[in-house]
Amino acid sequence: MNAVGWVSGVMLGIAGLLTTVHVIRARNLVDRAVGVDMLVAVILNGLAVGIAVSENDLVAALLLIIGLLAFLGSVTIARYIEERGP
Amino acid sequence: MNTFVDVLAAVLMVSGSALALIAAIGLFRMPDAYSRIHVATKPATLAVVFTVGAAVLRVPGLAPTTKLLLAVLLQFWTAPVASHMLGRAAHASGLRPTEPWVVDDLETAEADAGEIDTEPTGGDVGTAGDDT
Repeated sequence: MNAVGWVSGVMLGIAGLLTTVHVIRARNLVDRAVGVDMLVAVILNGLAVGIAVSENDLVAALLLIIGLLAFLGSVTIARYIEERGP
Repeated sequence: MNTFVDVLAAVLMVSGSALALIAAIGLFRMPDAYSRIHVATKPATLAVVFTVGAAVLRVPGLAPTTKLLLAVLLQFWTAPVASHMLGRAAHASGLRPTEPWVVDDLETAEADAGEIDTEPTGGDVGTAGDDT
């Protein structure tokens, strides 16, 4: 299970790096918000893989909290873009 | 039985991580913001479902399972709403795709609603100004 965890961790790390590069290089605010959304999904994946490898559910509540915070952030940015422009 | 569950969890973990990686690559491959919204929502949600499913298989007990399934349910509720809001905001702020629209129902719907909405209020303001 450790080797599988390493493989998943490396893939998620590359995904997080690519997403960060995309957020930095984004041309408008919509692209940036999409990138941050994707980054949150990668973080949720990493937490879930950590739970599965360690068989320890100490951070299970973090999945709920981070998902809800990301949703509130995305909706707020969307309202902001609607008024201000991309 | 136990090894079978472990192998299933491993497969779910790796395929979920691979989906996240594919979605991250898709952010670079897609041509405009609308297709990027698509690629950042659906594969990412499926990736979360897969990896959390692996965690559910690995961690026994009712309380962790409830928490993890609630996280998946929350993702299913919030991800479409958030991406819909982003797409609507992009459309309202005048962002256009690199290729012209094939169908743009929101534009025509907003034009129709605008005609219906603005006419009575405009008329009211006009008559009120005329009376005084």
